[in-house]
Amino acid sequence: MVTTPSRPDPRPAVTMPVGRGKHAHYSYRDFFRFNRDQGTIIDWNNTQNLLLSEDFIVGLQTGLEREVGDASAAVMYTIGMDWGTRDAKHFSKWYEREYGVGVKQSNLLFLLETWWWPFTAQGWGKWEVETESKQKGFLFINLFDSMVARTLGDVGKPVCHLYAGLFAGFFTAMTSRELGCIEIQCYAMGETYCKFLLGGQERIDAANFWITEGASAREIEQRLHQL
Amino acid sequence: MNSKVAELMHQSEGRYLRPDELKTLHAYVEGIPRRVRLYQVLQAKEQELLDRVMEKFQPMMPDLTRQHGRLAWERCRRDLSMVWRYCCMAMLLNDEDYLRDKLLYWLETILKSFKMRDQCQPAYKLMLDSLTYSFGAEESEMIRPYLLLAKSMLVN
Repeated sequence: MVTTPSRPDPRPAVTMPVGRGKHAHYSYRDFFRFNRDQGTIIDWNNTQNLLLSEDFIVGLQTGLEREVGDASAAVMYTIGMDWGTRDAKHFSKWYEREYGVGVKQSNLLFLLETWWWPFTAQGWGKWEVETESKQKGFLFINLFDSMVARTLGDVGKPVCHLYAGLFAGFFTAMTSRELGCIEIQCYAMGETYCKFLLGGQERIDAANFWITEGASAREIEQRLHQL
Repeated sequence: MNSKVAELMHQSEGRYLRPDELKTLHAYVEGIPRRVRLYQVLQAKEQELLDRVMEKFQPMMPDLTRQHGRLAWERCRRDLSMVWRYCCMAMLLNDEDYLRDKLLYWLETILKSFKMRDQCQPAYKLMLDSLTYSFGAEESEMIRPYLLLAKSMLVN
């Protein structure tokens, strides 16, 4: 499921059946409002949703590769980055509306869980953030059931560039620090889940170099801790 | 409505229900009066149950307010009450999926984000242990599977 949060929507917001005090609102029937008259799917945060098939993802990826070759990874990353940057603004607004406090006043891990929950409800997969290395300026994100990797299957290389860009864009906007993100392990490489490294560009470049040398995610983690 | 019954209604549109499907529907409907009666007992004694849990839990966590702020105990009770009410509704509907979808999948990640799974563990054990003090065998037996499900997802 894909969202387009930045486009102004002239249609009236859908009234939710329960009070805004209910924060556990991610079940299918709570989170989405199917408006048959207008042919729209509006979610709890008043965002327009689109239902897309796996064929769409395959078509997008294949078409992009045919058009721009290896640069398709960079294109997907840039699209994700732009999406994450815009979503950070959208999220800050709905988070404040939902919880009555600003994002800067909140517990970081709670904030991150709250940001990702709509994505989980929309089918982008579950995640887990490893913040143990936060003081060193980087962290890891584990993604289970990536929509892109699951669809493309075992292709022997990382494919979740859209997610990497999304994480980079969101965290850069939220922290006001230039951060990059790279997928160091992917379901599409036969692994059980995807793993992303988020941090300053120098660390991302180093990880990229180690990946081209054939290093595993575990080896990259060890090397980063030694830096 | 119970999610399996709702799915059955959805799947059987435009045709007659098969005997096994009618049996499922009948069993669900037949069980409702008993579940409503038990639900009312569980509802009426929520306060008594939670008073007992909090009375035993608070001495086990002397540092909770220092760690999580002055509202920590109020929030603890609020959360336990919320879990209890969702468990009661799931029992009434005879539907574990309701409990998972509506509350547990979300609350699991939230407790994890606050790193509170270990700290909350004794509270759920106390709730389970206290069932037989506040309720009869029938009520305890009917609500226990839902509380066990909540405990296994939230704190184990």
